[in-house]
Amino acid sequence: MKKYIKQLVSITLLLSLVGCESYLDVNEDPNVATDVPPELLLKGMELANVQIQSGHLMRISQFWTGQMRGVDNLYGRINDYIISPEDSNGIWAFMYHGVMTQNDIIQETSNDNLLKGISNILEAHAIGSFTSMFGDVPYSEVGVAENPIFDGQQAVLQAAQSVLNTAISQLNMVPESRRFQDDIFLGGNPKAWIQVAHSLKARYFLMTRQYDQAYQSALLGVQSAENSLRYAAAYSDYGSTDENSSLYNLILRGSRAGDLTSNGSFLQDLLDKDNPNSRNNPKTDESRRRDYLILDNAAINDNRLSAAHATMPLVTYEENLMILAETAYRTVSFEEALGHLNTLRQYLNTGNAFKGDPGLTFQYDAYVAADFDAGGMMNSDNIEAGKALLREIMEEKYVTGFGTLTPFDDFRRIRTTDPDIAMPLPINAGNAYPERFLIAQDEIDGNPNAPSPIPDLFQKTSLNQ
Amino acid sequence: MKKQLIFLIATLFLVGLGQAQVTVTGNVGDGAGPLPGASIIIKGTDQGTTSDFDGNYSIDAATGDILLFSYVGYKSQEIAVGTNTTINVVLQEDAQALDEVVVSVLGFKEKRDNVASTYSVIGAESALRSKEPTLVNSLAGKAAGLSITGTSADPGAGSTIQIRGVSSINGSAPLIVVDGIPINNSNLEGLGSDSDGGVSQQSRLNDINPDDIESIQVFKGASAGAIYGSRALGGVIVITTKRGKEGKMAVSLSSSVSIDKINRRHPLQKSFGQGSNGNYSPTSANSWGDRISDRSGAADVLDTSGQYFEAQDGTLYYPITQKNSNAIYSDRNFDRVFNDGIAQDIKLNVSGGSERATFYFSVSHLNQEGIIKASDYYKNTFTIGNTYKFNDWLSSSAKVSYTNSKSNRIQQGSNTAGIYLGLLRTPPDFDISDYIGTYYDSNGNPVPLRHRSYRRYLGNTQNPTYNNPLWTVNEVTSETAVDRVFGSVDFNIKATPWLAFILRGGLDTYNDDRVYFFPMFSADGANNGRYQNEIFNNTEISADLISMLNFSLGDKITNKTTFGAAINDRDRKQLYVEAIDFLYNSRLQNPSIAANKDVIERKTKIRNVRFYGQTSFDYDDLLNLNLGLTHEDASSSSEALVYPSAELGFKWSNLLNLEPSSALSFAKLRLAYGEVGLAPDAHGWETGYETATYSSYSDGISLTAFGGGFRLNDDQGNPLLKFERKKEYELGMDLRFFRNRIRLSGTYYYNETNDMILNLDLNPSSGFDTFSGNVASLENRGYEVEFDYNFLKKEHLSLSIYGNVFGNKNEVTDLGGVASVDLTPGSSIKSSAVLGEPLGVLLGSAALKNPDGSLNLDENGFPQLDTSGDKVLGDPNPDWRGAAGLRANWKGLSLNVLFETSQGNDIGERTKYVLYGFGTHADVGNDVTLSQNLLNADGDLITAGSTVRGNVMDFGGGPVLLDQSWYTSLGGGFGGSVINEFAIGDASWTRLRELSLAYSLEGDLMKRIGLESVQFSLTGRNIALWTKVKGIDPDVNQFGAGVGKGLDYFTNPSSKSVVIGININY
Repeated sequence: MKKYIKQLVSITLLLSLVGCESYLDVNEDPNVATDVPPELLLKGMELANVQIQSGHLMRISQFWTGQMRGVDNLYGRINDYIISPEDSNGIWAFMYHGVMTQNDIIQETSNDNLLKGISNILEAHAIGSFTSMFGDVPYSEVGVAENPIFDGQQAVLQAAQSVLNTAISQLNMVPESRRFQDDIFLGGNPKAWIQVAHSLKARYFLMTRQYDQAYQSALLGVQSAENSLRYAAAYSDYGSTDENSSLYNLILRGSRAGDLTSNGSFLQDLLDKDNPNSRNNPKTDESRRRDYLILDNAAINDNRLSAAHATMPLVTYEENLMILAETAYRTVSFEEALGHLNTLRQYLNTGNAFKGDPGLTFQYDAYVAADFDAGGMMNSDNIEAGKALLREIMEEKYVTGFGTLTPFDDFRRIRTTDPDIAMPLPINAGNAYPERFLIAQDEIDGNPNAPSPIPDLFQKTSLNQ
Repeated sequence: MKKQLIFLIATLFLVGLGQAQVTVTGNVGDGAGPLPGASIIIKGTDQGTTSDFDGNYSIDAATGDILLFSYVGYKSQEIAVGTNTTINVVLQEDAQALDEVVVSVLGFKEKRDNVASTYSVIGAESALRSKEPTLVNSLAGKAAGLSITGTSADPGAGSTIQIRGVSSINGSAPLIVVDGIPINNSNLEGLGSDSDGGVSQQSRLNDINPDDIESIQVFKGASAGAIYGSRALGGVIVITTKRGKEGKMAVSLSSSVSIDKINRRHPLQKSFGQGSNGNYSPTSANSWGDRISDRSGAADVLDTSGQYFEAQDGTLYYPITQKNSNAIYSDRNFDRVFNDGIAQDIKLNVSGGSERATFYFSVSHLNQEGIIKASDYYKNTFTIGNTYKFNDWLSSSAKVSYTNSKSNRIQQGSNTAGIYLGLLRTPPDFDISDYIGTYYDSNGNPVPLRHRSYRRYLGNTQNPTYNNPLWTVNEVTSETAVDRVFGSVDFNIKATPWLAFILRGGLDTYNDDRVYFFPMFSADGANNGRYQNEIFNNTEISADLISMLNFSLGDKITNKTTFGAAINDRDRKQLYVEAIDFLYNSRLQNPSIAANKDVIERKTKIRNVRFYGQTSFDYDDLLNLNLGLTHEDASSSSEALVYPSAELGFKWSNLLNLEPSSALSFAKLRLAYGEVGLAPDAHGWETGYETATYSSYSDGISLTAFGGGFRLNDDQGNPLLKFERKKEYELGMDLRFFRNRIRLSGTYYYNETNDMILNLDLNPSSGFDTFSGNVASLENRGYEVEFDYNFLKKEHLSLSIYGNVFGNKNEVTDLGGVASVDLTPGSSIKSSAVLGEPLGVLLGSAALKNPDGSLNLDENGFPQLDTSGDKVLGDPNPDWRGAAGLRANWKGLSLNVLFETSQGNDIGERTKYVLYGFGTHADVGNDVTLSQNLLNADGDLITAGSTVRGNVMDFGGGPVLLDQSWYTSLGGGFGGSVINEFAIGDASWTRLRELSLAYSLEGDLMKRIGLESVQFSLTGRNIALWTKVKGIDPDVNQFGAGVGKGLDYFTNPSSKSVVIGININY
């Protein structure tokens, strides 16, 4: 027997050797990919950004700006400004994980300037809207610190401008003919994206009241309707299934269908010929556009924005024209401003800007300067002609901006800079307008740098103070 | 005593005469193999020796000396030394003292009194006697500290095994070791069935043929489990299986038939019809309609002008415009779905052997039909085992079992296809019989095979809302088919008399193939049909090399040292196919009939390596000291861990020089410390890429729908994940009195689990949403007492009482900054981990309280909902549990009675509460005549003298009337906006777990017909239950065998049974 002992000892040793690293090195996850090429992340960023720009909080902003009404359950309560920090959780996750974490990977690992430029624009788009919604938010330390500090609103917008500049220079290095099919917004058209970047720069300069730079940027902004950033204009099967449809369509057909509607909203009244508050006039017939903007679970149809395949506006030709009009008024001349407004009206008059019931009429004749003179068609209350023009520009932008956060942005801004011509939007409860959204509960719970207490709904963000 | 003294003196005298000295050598065995450590004493002297590993011994004696061969658990034998100097002895097992021999966690036999760990022995006889169709349930009530919680009486349904409370949120099921090999006892929910609603899944331990089991030993403490490291967090259950024995071939054939009945039924009202506000409506969800007896009794008035439904037997159903029938179908509906279950169980085992080889062979067949029609469980097992002695230093044993089972489970729980959900919500005036037929719309277009349910009595929509229970039984199938092979091989090598090696290998592999089929027009999101196939392939391989050393250090100290190395490899592949949107209304169970198919594949692999050493010292049969150290590394842990263990046993009674007549016969103090752990789940280190759906509120858009794409996972991986770690301290005492006729054993323990892994929500600005880390802690403290008192022992009559009592207090001491963790997702009463509370407390919506704790009532005198968030409503953990039994033997007749109790545990009676809202529960079907004016929850005044449907209640602000306005707002129904606090009930229970009567025929009569013995038995299982919970046995759990517990939500019921059995031994 003794002669076997040696062998047995060797077996023991062998067993021990087996126990070494290689045997135990099996924890790599066989179920998930770890080597995904960065270009496959873009689409996810776009979807996350769509939710930031056009999802839950955007819809809520519409309740608060007279564009829609929350009538039941959660939306019924939020309509009347009863909202909790939990309602911001999703958007915060989409901002930081959905957009920023993914963009960090793209910027680090990709060599493709087209991809990198588009991704940077998406990040700048998201963070700009985000800081506009929430005021001071973490940005500069995101991706660096676990608990980033909150940056000032102004600083965040400045950072967004610089990301946009980077994006523009990245895209300028790409041949104009390049395309990228995974981009569901613009099909990876670099020229269109550069224009979008300039429009976003203009949007943010407006927020920071840098009207001249806004004007200059808008001149380079979106030049045509085809170059508008819209969800999901470049995806051929858009609207073919539930999970690639318009967000309006989804919510109006889902389990929360009856909780919100455009029926009875300030906007619907504004567009209604028969309503005393109507904006229709001898040069303007909003009948068809009104129909297009009806959002109600019982009135979904193919001609309306509630159709599954109706594209949702993000950064549009129309918005760019309105920025041009406003900033021209502020920095160039009345005529220049009127010209831009009329360019938009001309476009609206082609009937290509919106669908709507074809049986209904529309009309957008050019305005002339006299329309804004005291006692003119657009100035029955005899205010200064320029102000009357600005009022119409902002009202038009309020309508064309339907489905984006810009009406909420503009309304808060104009009430600070030009309260005399601010739109008479309804206050749904109490006696104050909401000025922001609440910082997410998950952020409050997890980041000691979050303000405590968090600013409430009615506290103006620093830019609007 | 006197006689013995004389005998002793006589012996001494004989020895004194001085006979010829010889050296006697030989072997001590038990037929199955050698008995190492058997004691050989020259009778009347203190001279003696013990047998070595081979059972060999050598002793100097004189001819005429009487050698006394003894071994704990065996009948002693006396043999006189004659001319033959080789004496080989085969000791017979002593049935009375069977439990005196115990096995260690490694599967080696030990003397009971030398073991300092806390353990309980469950003999095969005791487990088999309960005649449970599943092995796990037969352990209930049989050991202190061991809790078996059923899920339902569905045939083959799994059960939770819990030892000493829950040790981790991530699972604390005990490790099951069969013949030294760990085997799988998973209870996988899978993707095809949700934990809150779906079907009962099985416990894989039930694949074992109970007839193969020799004994079951439950090791409760960490000191015993330390050798298994991260597998033994929840304790270790060691199962020893039968082996063939040297001698004549033994054959045992047993057969039993069990009749099962539902043991608790939810009481339903039979007075009010479908509808609301006292008005009949044939499509209403609720039964708050008219009084059925007030109807005329004439035929219903129907609208025969348009749509109608034609049942399969030709019965036509038209829209009802006036309900006149006062027929009530409650009981008939029930009987259409439930019946008596029946189980037939046949087991055969054959064993035998020679000096060199033994064999064991068994087959069993179980055929069970459940109390719910169409539920069934078939199981066949086949085991073959042998032992073989190659030569004097090498022997081997091998065993392999094959199990094949098949079961159809019934949809239950929070699931609109669930049987109870559909049945118990059905109004008393709806007949469920015609559940399938052809629907004709008002233009006469037929839709065949339409589903007719109480909310869609014309079958006029694709969605029946809830399944008609007959549809669930007859059209929906949820089958599982399991093939499993497990086996082990041992090689025993005796290198020297003091050194032995054991090489051990085990394989456990199974394939679980589940098919869920919902034909078109089923509820639960399957209006267009759904086919799901989920296959689990699970393989576990273990190998151990163990060296055992035996030393004598001087006269009084002996040492046994064990070194071992073990590897373990667990692989699982899960393949899930979901096929929806059937292209036509087919009953073909194949994805080819579906328009949309989705496939998910998941693989997990986890490996670990352990090196362990254990050394035990025995000092003069007085002190036992066991020290152990295990080093373990696992593939899923970032660092290795060392688990120490120490046990001290002090047999202080041996210091007392006890007379056999003294009251105390034996006393031992036990002290133990040990550590065990739990490995992180496999593959948690990396942050991989995933597909995503982005939804901010009811508006999900997915990457898949946009042609595919990825994102870096929002659940951040953690490359530093490491073992969870549990430490345990124990103090125990074993006492025996009056010649061992009273046995008492008690243990107090304290344990804490640290580094428990939790998924934490991160602040979004960190760039990720969740992160799992070793952050949480909990602790358990408790006591266990076991007793057995043989209070009467006559030649033919023996009476014993026995039982156990145990209690455990658990507290979650750290949750890593998280307020609570929901263990039962999807339930509005959430069994949760809450800081400072016992694990599993019931969290949910509460009634608004005043600062003094009384209810804060509204102006009508009714409670109000506390909108400030969930509150702790109850604790599903019992304060204590226990069991007590009586064992009686009179000649061939034996009687066993076992009561079991659980006290102080709460349950969320959600079925009852939801039925209040639906108006079908008996509690809300009462008539009350008001003696004073009362307000209802809407503030309406109901005048004195009126007789109305409802109950009068005083919440503290004077009597109020509880009627539909209360039961359908805050006082009943589902969701978080009802006062779920009122759904919490005291689930304490006491049951007659087992009552068995057996008669055994043996002796000459049997011998004459060539048999060893024949036993007849009659067993009642779970035949009486005392509990405050109405409607359901509180020993069910909506969430199956998970960590979350204490919830009933349309959970399938439990049963009681009567079993007749016969066992023939040849």
